[in-house]
Amino acid sequence: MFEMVQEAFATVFTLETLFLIIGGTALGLVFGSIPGLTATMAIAICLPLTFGMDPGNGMALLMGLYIGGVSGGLIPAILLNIPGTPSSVSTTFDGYPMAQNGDAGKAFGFAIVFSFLGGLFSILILMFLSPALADIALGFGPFEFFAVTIFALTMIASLSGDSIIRGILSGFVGLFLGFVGSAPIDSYPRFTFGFDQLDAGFAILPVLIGLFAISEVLKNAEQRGSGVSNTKKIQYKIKGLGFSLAEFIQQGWNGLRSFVIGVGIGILPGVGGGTANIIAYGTAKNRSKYPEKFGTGINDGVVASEGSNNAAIGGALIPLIALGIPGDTVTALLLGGLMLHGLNPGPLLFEQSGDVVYIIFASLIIANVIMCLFLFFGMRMFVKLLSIPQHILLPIIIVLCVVGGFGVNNRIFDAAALVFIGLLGYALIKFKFPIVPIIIGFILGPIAETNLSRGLMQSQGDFSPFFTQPIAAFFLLLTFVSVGIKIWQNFKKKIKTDDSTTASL
Amino acid sequence: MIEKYGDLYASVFFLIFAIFMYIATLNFQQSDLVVLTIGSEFVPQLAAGGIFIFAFLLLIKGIKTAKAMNKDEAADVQTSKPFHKTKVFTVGATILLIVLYVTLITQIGFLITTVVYLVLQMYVLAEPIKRNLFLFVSIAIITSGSVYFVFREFFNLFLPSGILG
Repeated sequence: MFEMVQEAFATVFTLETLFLIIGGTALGLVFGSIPGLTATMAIAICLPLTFGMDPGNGMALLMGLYIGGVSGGLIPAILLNIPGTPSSVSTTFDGYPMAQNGDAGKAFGFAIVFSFLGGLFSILILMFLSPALADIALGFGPFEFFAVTIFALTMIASLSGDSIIRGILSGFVGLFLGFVGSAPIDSYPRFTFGFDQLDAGFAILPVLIGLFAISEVLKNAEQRGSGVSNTKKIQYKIKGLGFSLAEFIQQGWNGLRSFVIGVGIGILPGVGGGTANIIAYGTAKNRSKYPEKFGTGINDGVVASEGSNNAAIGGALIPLIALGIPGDTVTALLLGGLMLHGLNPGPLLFEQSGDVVYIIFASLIIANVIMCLFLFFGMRMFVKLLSIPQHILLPIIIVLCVVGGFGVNNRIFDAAALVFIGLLGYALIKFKFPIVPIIIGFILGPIAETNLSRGLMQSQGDFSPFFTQPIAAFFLLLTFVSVGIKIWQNFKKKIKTDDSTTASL
Repeated sequence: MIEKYGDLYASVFFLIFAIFMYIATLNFQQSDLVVLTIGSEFVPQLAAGGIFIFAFLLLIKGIKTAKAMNKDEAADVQTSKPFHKTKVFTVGATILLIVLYVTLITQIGFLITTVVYLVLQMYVLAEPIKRNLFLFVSIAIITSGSVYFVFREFFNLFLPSGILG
């Protein structure tokens, strides 16, 4: 493994690749720091750029974007009380009060250093865990993959916001979009409605860009005139790292716990930094000796949020690289990116394209360092970007989306599909349906179906191996438990609200 | 309206969708291969069934919400929000512009369509006092030109040249 790592670093330390990582990280930070633009969008827009590159370079660029995109959100979170990305929501809870108290420099220091450490921690875990996991997964047959995928699909329930029913229906919409095109085994066309262009199904890129960029832009379009003004006077000062060694040591345990939470949440399919920061913040508050101080501007809050969201990066990449199952929306796009380059995500990736995997690892480490340097030395520039008005940015984003959609197969059909799916996503958002489950259904549905068919072919139509093979049975059991817990939790919540409404009457 | 009847509308849509989806699966070609134990229609039919069940649950929930809201409204008539005319206009115009942009891009070409789209879209999204046509046109021309050039020269992606080609 160390040889592979060495080799990967040698590849990455060429001018071209380094330039791509630096550029990717900078652009990621720009996207992360401007509210309304996210890491997902940055990757969606840049994917077409990687077409002409070799897979290693393409991945290097995407890793820079990923690290930068997740990290950039801390800037507006601390200065403007607006999370730049969903990953920085709880950074606003204490980061903004700190800035109000004149401690913006310290908040930045903690946020940047713990983002860096959280990222590094998770990348190391990724490097050690994913080959081992891939090794185990190499022994998986269709029964096991089917069970793992079904388990992953149940994550829809935890991503459904306040209504599981709506979340599940969103998941079904995703499944339906995944059905369009040729059936997995016998390749007969399904739901193509006479469009030849749909024979291969919806390409992953238009679906992702449509859902996460077009519908986002439309959502932002609603806020014309009512949006938060970005012209607030922004002031900050940062000296050295912004905090003392003693303060750093004080945060040691909190930081480590947040890293572990970040990696753990990141590994779970379907949830990423957006959830990790909220859970880590909640845990830090619950475990704190002074929970009442949370929200008033204390270091612990910023450390928990920023440490965990960057730690989720490595976590989310573990199931992607080892199993070919994306952990969050960004990894779903990276999955698309790997497939565009003819790579086969999943346990075979290490065997077939080990070099690319280790380039991914090396690029992540370098991007993490570059992110840290950019934020410490380039803060002034990123702060300036916050004042670019949305009405200029959003139309440019749309143009880049359309170009991205066009670039998939060099035909306008995919750009049209992208717009169609964007409108669909917007309509669903308006009816309060969550959109992340659509992606999960779209990506995991075909994997589940293919493995179901393969398994049944192997067992000649007998369903029992899905329940009797130990690993498959374990994951299906886990599925039932996780669904059971969710239903029970909702039931409890309902009783509680019913009680409180009766009490208030 | 969406607050009150959203779930009802959505559930009815999904119920109809599930039925159409199921009917569509009946026309799928069947494989003659003996090894296949489930056909290409099996999972879609399951999904159609699932959509139907959950849409039905949503319908029940929607009816409850609407009833509860009716009660609240009887007590307090002022709950309904004012209709946001600008919001509807901005979103509607944005959707129309995007659709037109994608439709016309192959005929007219990337460069011209993009410039026109960008200017109109910026105009629609900007607050009236921030509308600066000169700035918008300059940004549009620079963006359109540089995107076209960069993708063509560096990434070998030939965007539609339309009437200019």
